[in-house]
Amino acid sequence: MSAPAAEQLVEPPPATTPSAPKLDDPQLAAIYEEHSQPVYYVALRLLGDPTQAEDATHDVFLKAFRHLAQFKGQSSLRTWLYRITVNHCQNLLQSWHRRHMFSNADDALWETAAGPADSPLRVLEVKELGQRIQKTLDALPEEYRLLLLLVADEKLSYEEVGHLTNQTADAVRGKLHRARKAFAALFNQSA
Amino acid sequence: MNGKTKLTQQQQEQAETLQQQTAEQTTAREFGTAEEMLRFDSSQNPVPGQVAERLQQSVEREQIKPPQSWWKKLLGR
Repeated sequence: MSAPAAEQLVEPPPATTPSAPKLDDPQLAAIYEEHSQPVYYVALRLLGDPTQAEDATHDVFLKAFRHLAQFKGQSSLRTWLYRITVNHCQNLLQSWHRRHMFSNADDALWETAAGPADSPLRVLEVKELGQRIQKTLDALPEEYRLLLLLVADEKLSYEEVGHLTNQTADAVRGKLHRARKAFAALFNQSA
Repeated sequence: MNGKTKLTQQQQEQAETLQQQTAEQTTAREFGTAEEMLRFDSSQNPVPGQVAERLQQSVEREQIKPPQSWWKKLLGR
Protein backbone atom coordinates (compact mmCIF):
# COMPACT_ATOMS: atom_id res chain seq x y z
CA MET A 1 0.00 0.00 0.00
CA SER A 2 1.34 3.37 -0.88
CA ALA A 3 2.01 6.07 1.70
CA PRO A 4 -0.68 8.73 2.19
CA ALA A 5 -0.31 11.51 -0.35
CA ALA A 6 0.31 14.13 2.31
CA GLU A 7 3.42 12.33 3.52
CA GLN A 8 5.08 12.12 0.13
CA LEU A 9 7.62 14.87 -0.11
CA VAL A 10 9.12 14.29 -3.51
CA GLU A 11 10.56 17.51 -4.78
CA PRO A 12 9.26 18.34 -8.24
CA PRO A 13 11.89 19.86 -10.49
CA PRO A 14 11.86 23.67 -10.52
CA ALA A 15 10.23 25.17 -13.56
CA THR A 16 12.82 26.66 -15.84
CA THR A 17 12.87 28.77 -18.94
CA PRO A 18 14.92 26.88 -21.50
CA SER A 19 17.73 28.91 -23.04
CA ALA A 20 16.49 32.21 -21.65
CA PRO A 21 17.80 35.07 -23.77
CA LYS A 22 20.33 37.38 -22.22
CA LEU A 23 21.04 41.06 -22.51
CA ASP A 24 23.99 42.02 -24.67
CA ASP A 25 25.67 44.31 -22.17
CA PRO A 26 27.43 42.02 -19.64
CA GLN A 27 26.88 44.40 -16.72
CA LEU A 28 23.18 44.83 -17.37
CA ALA A 29 22.89 41.11 -18.06
CA ALA A 30 24.50 40.30 -14.70
CA ILE A 31 22.05 42.55 -12.87
CA TYR A 32 19.10 41.08 -14.72
CA GLU A 33 20.23 37.51 -14.18
CA GLU A 34 20.67 37.95 -10.46
CA HIS A 35 17.55 39.94 -9.68
CA SER A 36 14.90 39.33 -12.35
CA GLN A 37 13.35 36.28 -10.66
CA PRO A 38 12.56 37.96 -7.31
CA VAL A 39 11.38 41.11 -9.08
CA TYR A 40 9.10 39.12 -11.38
CA TYR A 41 7.72 37.01 -8.56
CA VAL A 42 6.87 39.98 -6.33
CA ALA A 43 5.23 41.71 -9.30
CA LEU A 44 3.33 38.53 -10.14
CA ARG A 45 1.89 38.15 -6.68
CA LEU A 46 1.24 41.85 -6.12
CA LEU A 47 -0.53 42.29 -9.44
CA GLY A 48 -1.98 38.77 -9.66
CA ASP A 49 -1.52 38.52 -13.40
CA PRO A 50 1.42 36.98 -15.31
CA THR A 51 1.15 39.32 -18.29
CA GLN A 52 1.08 42.40 -16.11
CA ALA A 53 3.98 41.00 -14.10
CA GLU A 54 6.00 40.59 -17.32
CA ASP A 55 5.30 44.19 -18.27
CA ALA A 56 6.16 45.36 -14.77
CA THR A 57 9.45 43.42 -14.75
CA HIS A 58 10.43 44.95 -18.07
CA ASP A 59 9.50 48.44 -16.87
CA VAL A 60 11.26 48.07 -13.52
CA PHE A 61 14.55 47.01 -15.09
CA LEU A 62 14.36 49.63 -17.80
CA LYS A 63 13.75 52.29 -15.16
CA ALA A 64 16.64 50.94 -13.08
CA PHE A 65 19.02 50.79 -16.05
CA ARG A 66 18.15 54.36 -17.02
CA HIS A 67 18.96 55.56 -13.52
CA LEU A 68 21.89 53.37 -12.55
CA ALA A 69 24.03 56.44 -12.05
CA GLN A 70 21.62 57.54 -9.32
CA PHE A 71 22.10 54.35 -7.36
CA LYS A 72 24.33 55.52 -4.55
CA GLY A 73 25.01 52.15 -3.04
CA GLN A 74 23.47 53.17 0.30
CA SER A 75 21.27 50.11 0.15
CA SER A 76 21.80 46.84 -1.67
CA LEU A 77 20.94 46.73 -5.34
CA ARG A 78 18.25 44.15 -4.55
CA THR A 79 16.61 46.52 -2.08
CA TRP A 80 16.75 49.36 -4.59
CA LEU A 81 15.14 47.19 -7.26
CA TYR A 82 12.45 46.05 -4.85
CA ARG A 83 11.64 49.65 -4.01
CA ILE A 84 11.18 50.44 -7.69
CA THR A 85 9.08 47.27 -8.11
CA VAL A 86 6.81 47.93 -5.16
CA ASN A 87 6.29 51.59 -6.15
CA HIS A 88 5.62 50.59 -9.73
CA CYS A 89 3.08 47.91 -8.78
CA GLN A 90 1.36 50.16 -6.25
CA ASN A 91 1.05 52.89 -8.88
CA LEU A 92 -0.47 50.40 -11.30
CA LEU A 93 -2.89 49.12 -8.70
CA GLN A 94 -3.92 52.66 -7.79
CA SER A 95 -4.44 53.67 -11.37
CA TRP A 96 -6.60 50.62 -11.92
CA HIS A 97 -8.75 51.58 -8.97
CA ARG A 98 -8.15 48.22 -7.49
CA ARG A 99 -7.51 49.38 -3.99
CA HIS A 100 -11.09 48.81 -2.97
CA MET A 101 -10.56 45.10 -3.60
CA PHE A 102 -8.04 44.85 -0.79
CA SER A 103 -9.21 43.49 2.48
CA ASN A 104 -9.62 46.00 5.27
CA ALA A 105 -9.90 43.30 7.86
CA ASP A 106 -8.93 44.30 11.34
CA ASP A 107 -5.81 42.75 12.83
CA ALA A 108 -7.93 41.37 15.63
CA LEU A 109 -9.61 39.07 13.15
CA TRP A 110 -6.29 37.41 12.39
CA GLU A 111 -5.38 37.23 16.06
CA THR A 112 -8.46 35.12 16.68
CA ALA A 113 -8.13 33.07 13.50
CA ALA A 114 -8.17 29.34 14.09
CA GLY A 115 -4.89 27.48 14.07
CA PRO A 116 -1.41 28.35 15.28
CA ALA A 117 0.89 30.47 13.10
CA ASP A 118 3.40 27.67 12.80
CA SER A 119 0.97 24.97 11.73
CA PRO A 120 2.11 23.27 8.53
CA LEU A 121 0.54 24.40 5.30
CA ARG A 122 -0.43 21.30 3.41
CA VAL A 123 -1.30 21.16 -0.23
CA LEU A 124 -2.25 18.11 -2.23
CA GLU A 125 -2.15 19.53 -5.71
CA VAL A 126 1.02 21.42 -6.59
CA LYS A 127 -0.70 22.41 -9.81
CA GLU A 128 -3.28 24.44 -7.89
CA LEU A 129 -0.82 25.90 -5.46
CA GLY A 130 -0.28 29.13 -7.38
CA GLN A 131 -3.99 29.86 -7.56
CA ARG A 132 -4.47 29.22 -3.86
CA ILE A 133 -1.49 31.37 -2.94
CA GLN A 134 -2.78 34.21 -5.09
CA LYS A 135 -6.24 33.94 -3.57
CA THR A 136 -4.77 33.94 -0.08
CA LEU A 137 -2.46 36.90 -0.74
CA ASP A 138 -5.29 38.87 -2.33
CA ALA A 139 -7.38 38.39 0.81
CA LEU A 140 -4.60 39.58 3.11
CA PRO A 141 -4.20 43.19 4.20
CA GLU A 142 -1.75 44.89 1.81
CA GLU A 143 0.87 45.33 4.50
CA TYR A 144 0.95 41.62 5.36
CA ARG A 145 1.06 40.62 1.71
CA LEU A 146 4.09 42.78 1.00
CA LEU A 147 5.81 41.75 4.21
CA LEU A 148 5.52 38.04 3.45
CA LEU A 149 6.68 38.46 -0.14
CA LEU A 150 9.75 40.41 0.93
CA VAL A 151 10.64 38.20 3.89
CA ALA A 152 10.39 35.17 1.61
CA ASP A 153 13.49 36.50 -0.16
CA GLU A 154 16.29 35.03 1.92
CA LYS A 155 18.71 37.62 0.59
CA LEU A 156 16.87 40.41 2.41
CA SER A 157 17.49 41.05 6.10
CA TYR A 158 14.71 42.17 8.44
CA GLU A 159 16.43 45.57 8.49
CA GLU A 160 16.16 45.79 4.71
CA VAL A 161 12.53 44.67 4.75
CA GLY A 162 11.90 47.31 7.40
CA HIS A 163 13.64 49.90 5.24
CA LEU A 164 11.41 48.98 2.31
CA THR A 165 8.21 49.03 4.35
CA ASN A 166 9.10 52.11 6.42
CA GLN A 167 9.33 50.43 9.79
CA THR A 168 11.90 49.03 12.17
CA ALA A 169 13.24 45.49 12.01
CA ASP A 170 11.51 44.79 15.36
CA ALA A 171 8.19 45.92 13.89
CA VAL A 172 8.79 43.59 10.94
CA ARG A 173 9.37 40.66 13.31
CA GLY A 174 6.23 41.46 15.25
CA LYS A 175 4.00 41.86 12.23
CA LEU A 176 5.48 38.84 10.52
CA HIS A 177 4.04 36.57 13.18
CA ARG A 178 0.55 37.99 12.58
CA ALA A 179 1.03 37.87 8.81
CA ARG A 180 1.99 34.19 8.95
CA LYS A 181 -1.00 33.41 11.10
CA ALA A 182 -3.37 35.27 8.78
CA PHE A 183 -1.86 33.57 5.74
CA ALA A 184 -2.17 30.11 7.28
CA ALA A 185 -5.79 30.67 8.31
CA LEU A 186 -6.81 31.99 4.90
CA PHE A 187 -4.81 29.40 3.00
CA ASN A 188 -6.37 26.51 4.89
CA GLN A 189 -9.81 27.99 4.27
CA SER A 190 -9.13 28.15 0.54
CA ALA A 191 -8.83 24.35 0.19
CA MET B 1 18.41 -2.25 -35.04
CA ASN B 2 19.89 1.06 -33.98
CA GLY B 3 16.73 2.87 -35.05
CA LYS B 4 14.61 0.52 -33.00
CA THR B 5 16.80 1.01 -29.93
CA LYS B 6 16.54 4.79 -30.33
CA LEU B 7 12.77 4.56 -30.63
CA THR B 8 12.52 2.46 -27.49
CA GLN B 9 14.70 4.93 -25.65
CA GLN B 10 12.50 7.82 -26.78
CA GLN B 11 9.38 5.97 -25.67
CA GLN B 12 10.95 5.31 -22.31
CA GLU B 13 11.91 8.97 -21.92
CA GLN B 14 8.39 10.04 -22.85
CA ALA B 15 6.92 7.64 -20.32
CA GLU B 16 9.25 8.96 -17.64
CA THR B 17 8.34 12.55 -18.46
CA LEU B 18 4.64 11.72 -18.27
CA GLN B 19 5.17 9.93 -14.99
CA GLN B 20 7.04 12.92 -13.62
CA GLN B 21 4.30 15.31 -14.75
CA THR B 22 1.65 13.17 -13.12
CA ALA B 23 3.69 13.00 -9.93
CA GLU B 24 4.02 16.79 -9.94
CA GLN B 25 0.28 17.16 -10.17
CA THR B 26 -0.58 14.70 -7.46
CA THR B 27 2.33 14.86 -5.03
CA ALA B 28 1.42 16.44 -1.76
CA ARG B 29 3.70 18.95 -0.15
CA GLU B 30 3.93 20.42 3.26
CA PHE B 31 5.43 23.79 4.13
CA GLY B 32 6.46 24.97 7.55
CA THR B 33 5.81 28.66 6.93
CA ALA B 34 4.18 30.96 4.41
CA GLU B 35 7.61 32.15 3.27
CA GLU B 36 8.71 28.60 2.54
CA MET B 37 5.62 28.12 0.41
CA LEU B 38 6.21 31.41 -1.41
CA ARG B 39 9.81 30.45 -2.17
CA PHE B 40 8.60 27.20 -3.69
CA ASP B 41 5.94 29.08 -5.63
CA SER B 42 8.60 31.46 -6.94
CA SER B 43 10.66 28.51 -8.19
CA GLN B 44 7.60 27.33 -10.11
CA ASN B 45 7.11 30.71 -11.80
CA PRO B 46 10.28 31.57 -13.73
CA VAL B 47 10.58 34.85 -15.56
CA PRO B 48 9.34 34.33 -19.13
CA GLY B 49 12.15 34.60 -21.66
CA GLN B 50 10.40 37.29 -23.68
CA VAL B 51 10.96 39.81 -20.86
CA ALA B 52 14.72 39.77 -21.49
CA GLU B 53 14.12 40.02 -25.24
CA ARG B 54 11.88 43.07 -24.82
CA LEU B 55 14.31 44.61 -22.37
CA GLN B 56 17.19 44.13 -24.78
CA GLN B 57 15.18 45.90 -27.50
CA SER B 58 14.36 48.78 -25.15
CA VAL B 59 17.99 49.09 -24.02
CA GLU B 60 19.11 49.18 -27.67
CA ARG B 61 16.46 51.73 -28.60
CA GLU B 62 17.43 54.03 -25.73
CA GLN B 63 21.16 53.25 -26.10
CA ILE B 64 21.52 52.65 -22.38
CA LYS B 65 25.01 51.97 -21.10
CA PRO B 66 25.84 51.55 -17.43
CA PRO B 67 28.07 54.38 -16.19
CA GLN B 68 31.70 53.24 -16.10
CA SER B 69 32.26 54.27 -12.52
CA TRP B 70 29.11 52.53 -11.39
CA TRP B 71 30.29 48.98 -11.79
CA LYS B 72 33.47 49.70 -9.82
CA LYS B 73 31.35 51.27 -7.09
CA LEU B 74 29.16 48.20 -6.87
CA LEU B 75 32.09 45.79 -6.81
CA GLY B 76 33.83 47.93 -4.23
CA ARG B 77 30.97 47.52 -1.79
